[in-house]
Parts: sequence; structure tokens; C-alpha cells
Amino acid sequence: MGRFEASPVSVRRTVHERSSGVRIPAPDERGGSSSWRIGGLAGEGIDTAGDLLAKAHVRAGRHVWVTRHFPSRIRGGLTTCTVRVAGHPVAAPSGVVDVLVALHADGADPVKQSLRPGGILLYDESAVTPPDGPTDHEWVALDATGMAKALGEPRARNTIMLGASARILGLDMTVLEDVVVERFGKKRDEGRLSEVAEKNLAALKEGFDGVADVSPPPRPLPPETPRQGDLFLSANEAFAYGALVAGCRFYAGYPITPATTIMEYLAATLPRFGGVCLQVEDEIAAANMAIGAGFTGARAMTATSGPGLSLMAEAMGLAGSTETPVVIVDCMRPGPSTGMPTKTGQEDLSFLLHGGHGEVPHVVLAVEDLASAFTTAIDAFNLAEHYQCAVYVALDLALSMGKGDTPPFDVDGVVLDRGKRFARVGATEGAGAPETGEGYARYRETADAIPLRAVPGDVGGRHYANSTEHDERGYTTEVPATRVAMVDRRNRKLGDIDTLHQGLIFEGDKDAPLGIIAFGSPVPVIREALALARPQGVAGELCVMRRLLPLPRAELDAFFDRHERVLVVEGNSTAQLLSHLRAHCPEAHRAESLLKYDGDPFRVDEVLAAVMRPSEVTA
Amino acid sequence: MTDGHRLPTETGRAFADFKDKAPNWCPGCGDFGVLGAMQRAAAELDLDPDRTVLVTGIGCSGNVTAFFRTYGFHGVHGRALPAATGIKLADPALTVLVAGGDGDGFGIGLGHLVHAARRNLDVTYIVMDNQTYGLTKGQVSPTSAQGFVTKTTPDGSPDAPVDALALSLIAGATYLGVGFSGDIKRLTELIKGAVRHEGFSLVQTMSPCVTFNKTNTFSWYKDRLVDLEAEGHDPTDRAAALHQVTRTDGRIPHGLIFRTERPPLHRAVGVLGGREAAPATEDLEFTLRSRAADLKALRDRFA
Repeated sequence: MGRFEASPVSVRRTVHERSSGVRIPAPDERGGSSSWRIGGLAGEGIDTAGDLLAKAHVRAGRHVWVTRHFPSRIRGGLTTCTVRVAGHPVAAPSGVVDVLVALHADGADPVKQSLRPGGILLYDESAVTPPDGPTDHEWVALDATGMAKALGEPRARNTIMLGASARILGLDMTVLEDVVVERFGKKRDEGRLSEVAEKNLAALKEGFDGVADVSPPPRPLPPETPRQGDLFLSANEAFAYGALVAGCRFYAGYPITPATTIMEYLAATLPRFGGVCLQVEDEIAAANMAIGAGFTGARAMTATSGPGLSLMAEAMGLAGSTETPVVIVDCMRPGPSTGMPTKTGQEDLSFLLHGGHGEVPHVVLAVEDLASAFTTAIDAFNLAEHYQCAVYVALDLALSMGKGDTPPFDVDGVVLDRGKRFARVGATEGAGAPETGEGYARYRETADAIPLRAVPGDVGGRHYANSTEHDERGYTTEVPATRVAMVDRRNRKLGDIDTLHQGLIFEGDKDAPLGIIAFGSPVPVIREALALARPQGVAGELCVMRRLLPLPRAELDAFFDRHERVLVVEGNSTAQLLSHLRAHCPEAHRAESLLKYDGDPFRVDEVLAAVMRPSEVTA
Repeated sequence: MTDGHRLPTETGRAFADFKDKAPNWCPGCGDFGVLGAMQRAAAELDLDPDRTVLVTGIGCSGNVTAFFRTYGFHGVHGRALPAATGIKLADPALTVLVAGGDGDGFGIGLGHLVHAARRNLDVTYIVMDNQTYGLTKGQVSPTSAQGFVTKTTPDGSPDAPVDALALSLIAGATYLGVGFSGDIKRLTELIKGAVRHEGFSLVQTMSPCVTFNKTNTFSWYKDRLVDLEAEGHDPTDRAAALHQVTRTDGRIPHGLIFRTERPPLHRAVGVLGGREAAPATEDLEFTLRSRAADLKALRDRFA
């Protein structure tokens, strides 16, 4: 079992151990933010209700993070949607809920749903029976089923509950009405609302009128600081939009949770830009198609999750061998095998770092929030074409399906790097002595080891892209010296990536004893934990890894040097990131590991516990 | 637009213009005949080597890329059709040929054949069928007859062979021909027709392996081939084509089995070749600036 048996971690701590009796409060309990959750059966409009509330908050000038909890099925099974609202940017769940809305009895368990003591439980009285006797929570009944029937729109129970929630939370109804109208649409003739919009507006009002004011509200709403044009979307949507802007013109994919929304976005938008989005027979086809399109000169991409990535493993090497630019996105979920399709995790890192059998250089990037989803999409396509290799991008379900607000993406600031193209420079640079009547050789050595790329249709650029080891023209070879020269050149290709791409983002206090390293969805959680730790005298510096391969070595070494205590936070059980760091950074041996692998995202209080009390960390 | 991408075609290419490395196949291999027919067809059609891509999988026949002088893509085993799909959609102005063996196309890659056929992907797929695995030195193939004895089937193959022609016809292939590497003239005509045809063309070619298959030899095929033209077969008649690919008399139909018209994939998804910018030939920098307003409008739909 080798690497799984004893992970090479000096101090390993998982959030699953329940050792200390000391309770770390969730961030909402410290004020400044609050959480609302709606639960019901899948198909009851749970996500719609959450999105509408969140969008109303964003319009009003507050920050939100929306998380979804759902089983892997279409109808039935408890689904919840949680909207956390704050006065500062958030991208993490709180861990406790202040107001719980239950459309179904399964969602009315205050303990399972983390409703805080004293919190409000708003329930549909046709579906939920409150407990006899005293409880720790304030149960508020509403006949949502009856109201919906009376409105002639039995599906509007979610909107009725939304109206009631607005009253309980002290939310401005006009903003909520605006987003409801936007969602359900106006009729073609100007100004008039569609029937479904009318009914939902009525449902909103019914709900609002159906409950009493709560005074004071369960938690004061965070202050409003209206901003212009803020977006509300998921990291998948932000990435897919970034890909479109970057000039992605070919996408082939196979539906898989949580990657599918990338394909859905591109299916709706790519054709308008002359691009192609295809749902194909499997991930093997998807990856090979994207590589074929990349070989031909199109910016091409596919996105998947662990099981699909496993099927793409052979194609990963093909992109490397043929030196074809392609972007492969892995929206991670826990494995192995089918694993937990609707949960989050960061278990594919080792796989991404190796990327198929054999040895060939590639790039692994990671997205940690909405803003970086957009910029990473641009970087991924630029690096793929610059270095003529595969670029893998790691997201995880918490980001892929979580939604939040972000300032509008800077389209004008986008810069494209198409790399060295034969047609652009003509057959001069990189073109040597004619051997077979042509001067061009696709895989010829150059000063920076990056060959000159021709694509089919380039006159005089004819060559042979070959999955088999080949010479500089692409012809299959087994000559040892040629093989060694090919491997050495490919291995040198990415040598200057640190000058082209910022792989690490440093935030916080450089002089503090504590340093934290992470990538992906744990990052915003750590940001928040550090912000909460600071007033209590604990400072730290966060190193956000946007590039996991090639590792930005020098900067990491400096980070280890300036921190007495380094904590590596990641969502797997074997400390894959720390193992990777240890393989390259001499000082990484003294790092501690904080792991989580139950399928849920890290919570702020869990990270805070590790940050605040190093003495309690067990080996 | 990539510079120099659309220069006028030179004319009058000869057979020799499509010769590249000398083939390393066994002496007497059926694939020599197929390569010869491909080169003849390319010359007679005056294909532009700079605008033609030959996509191959893995196997003896998959090595043909290095022997045929156009752009080439030698991918991984069984995935030639997906790679060709990406190439054709990225730049539909390219002529895309796909070649490989029965193991590559009807074994590991069979699923892609059905999907390429139903999509009517506009490529010419030449399968060199020798009913055995040659490169790995003689194992059973998906087109081997039931009972065929090889090193991995010492008691004879337990499986019925894959009927790729019938599968392709049912799946929606719009051009279906059977060639024989012992009849280069007819094979050349089949390939020419396939390249001219807009849509998915399968040219299934009987190409004997002289080293590892002592059963399905040149003379074995010759004894069984039926000249479809002489039989008066009508290739526009789907029922007649179905009859040919499901023959029960042990004979192998030889010639054009089926041909019909249906919009190919690149037209169905609205990607056009020629003067229009295809995904591979678009000036992305220009688009980014000229369509910034459209991109921002899409962004602001999230607001």
C-alpha cells in the first residue's frame, strides 16, 4: 500500500477527529454574517429559491455564498440550499444556520440541519409536524401548500417560503420582486408580466403576509455596500465564460457531476462565436477530439470529473507526445471509482500531477474562487499554446456548484498568447537544412526547447504528429540518441514558466510564525479563518497555489524559510499536496497537515481550530 | 486567418508526390496494395498534401501515416475517429482520411465507428482488415471467424465476428464500400468516390496478413469476392445494401455497397470551411477586440 499506508506527514490531523471538548464558534455566531437554509425534496425548487434570495442580497449590496447539498438523483431525496450572507466577500459555508425553511419533514430536523439554538424553523404545516413540548428553536408555521393551491400554482411553495423568509430576515421586498420577475420573465408585449411571473409575485406576497415580523430579526442583516455590475455565478460558469473569452472554439465532453455545467454553458454560447460544443459517446472520445482540434489549431477543451479523467488517461499522454495544446478540466469529487458524485474533495491531485503513463511535461493549475476561475481559464489556454502541452485545471465540487458574487471580469484586460506558430514567422526560425525537400521540422530543437508549431493547412508545414516516439519530423524512431534528445527537449520546455505565470498568491502577514498552504475550495475558508484569528492575536500568511505543476519552487522555499509553523490544508486522506511539496521542497518535512475527506467542504471553524491551537495537534 | 492558409491549389500531382518513407510492412503484405490505391486516389483527385490529414490508430496498418505524404496524426489505439472528428470540425476545409486495422477500428475503437457513422462525420475511413492482430504477432481479431485458432485462442475463437459493414449501415454511414488489396484499380475508385462523398465513408478493405494469417489469404478472398457491379447491385437501394452486408452464402460483396446523401456533422453544427473562419483559422485576437461588446453582454447576464 506504500504511500497510502503511512503518509509522510510529521503532524497529521483530520477534521474528523473529535478530541477536544472546546467548541470553536462558527463565523456566523461571531456576527457579520448569517445563514438561511431551505430543505425539501429534489425537484421542489430548492435551488431556485436559494438563487433568488442570494441574487436579491447581491443586488442590495451584500456578499453571498450559496452551497447545495443533494443526493445523486433527480427527484426525491432531501436537497438543501444554503445562502450565507455577509458584509465582506465570502466563499465558504458557515457551519450553522440561523433560519431553516422546511418544505418536507426530512428537512425539518434542526440538529441535522445545524440550526443554531434560538434559530427560526419556518415550515410548511401540511408537510411538517412540530415536536411536542419545549424546543431550543422557534418553530414558525405557514400553510404553504394551501396557499399555493389557492393561487393555482402548486409548485410555488418555494416562492411562498421565500416571501415569508424575506419578512423574517427583514429583507427589502422590492429587490426580491425584481429578481423574481427577471427569473420568470415578462411577456413579449412590453411591460406585461408572464403568467408564471404574476403567480410567483403573488406567492411572494402571500408568504410575506403569512408570517409576523420578527423583532429583532434573528441576526441583523450585514450592511449594504452597493457595487456596480457584480456577478452572481458558480466557478464552473466563471471558468466556462473565461474559456469563451480566451477563444476556446472546440469543446467535446460527456455529462458528469459536477463538470456538466461547463458544457451546458459552452453549448449555449460557443456556436455564437463560430465554435463547436459536442456531447459525445464517452470521455475517451472527448479527450481525443479535443486533441484533434488542438492539433489543427483551434483552442480546445474538455471538462470532466474523476471517473472521466481516468478514461482520459491515455489521451493525456497523447497530448504530451504530439505536443498538442489542450485544456482538460477536472471538477473533483471524492473517489475511488464512482465515489460520492455529489460531494466535494481534492483526491485527484496525484493523478493530475502524473497525468497518464510515461513521462512528459504538462501544467496543472487550480482555481480557488470565482475571480481566479476566470483568469485561470485565460492562463490555461495561453500556457497550453505557449508550451504546446496539456494544461489540467483542478476545480472541486464546492466551487463547481457553489455560487457567489464577484466583481465583473475584466474582458478588456485579457491578453492572448498563441505561442510559436509556423505560419506567423514563415519557414525561417526553427527551420533547418532541407532533408526531404522541406526545411521545416515540427519537433526540431530550439533555444527554449519549444518547437515551431505548424497546423494542417499551413503551406510547407507538413508533418506527422505521432503518439509513438519520433524524430524531429515526427517519424517513428527507436534510435537511442534521438529518443534521449526528444525526452530531454520536452523536459526542458516548461523551464521558464515562473517568468510567464504567477503560480502562487501570497496573502496576509509575511512576518507571522504561521504559514498556510492550500489550493482550491479550502482557500476562501482559510482566508476567513485567518481574518477571525487575527483579532485574537494569531496572524498568518496564506500561500494560494494556482499552479501545482511545475511547482514554483523558489517561492515555496522562501515561504517555508519565513514561517516557523507551516500548515498544509487539503481535501483528501493521504496528504497528496504535502507529499508533492515534500518531493521538491527540502523544508516541507516539518509541515503539518490538516485533512478532510468526508465529502463536505472545509468549514471555517475547522480550520480555525487548527490555526488557533497548535498545542492540541496530535501526531 | 492563418497566413498562407488558403493559397490556390497546385495542379497535376502524381502518384509519387504522395510517397513518403518506404513502408516497413512484411514483404507481400496486403497493406502495400491499399497504400498504393490511396496514393493513386490522392493523385487522381489532386489532393493538396498541405490541406489533407491522414489520421491513424495503432497497428501495422496504422503506420501508413509515415508512408503517405500529407499532414499526419498517428494517435492512440482505437481513437483515430475521435481525433479525426476534432480535426474535421476545427477546419472543415481539410480533407480528412482515417486509416487503421480491424483491431483498431472494430475492436478497441468499435464504439467510435457507430457514433462517427450516425454523426455522418465527413471523413474517409479505410480499414485494412486482415482478420488477425499482426503487430502483436498473431492473436485473434474482432473479425476473425468463430473457431479461428491463434496463440490466445488455442481452442479456436469462441466469438462470432463483428460485422462492421452491417453495423455501419444501420448506424447511418452514407458511403459504404468493400475493397480488396489484390484489386488496386477498383480500390482506387472506391477511395476516390469516398473522398468526393460528403459524409461518413467506410471503405472496408480485405488486406491479407501473409505472416500471421494462413487462412484468409489472397486466394481465399479471391475465391469469395462477388463483383457487385456484375451482379447489378444498386448502391442507392438501402434494402439491397442490407442484403449484401448480411449475405449468407459465404461470399464477400466487392465494390460500392451503399451511397446516400445526408448533411454531415460539420454542417449540422454550423461550422463551415472555405472562406469562413473555422475554429482553427479564426484570428482570436481580432475577435476578442471586435466582439468585446458581445462578450461583456454575456458576462452581464450573470449580474
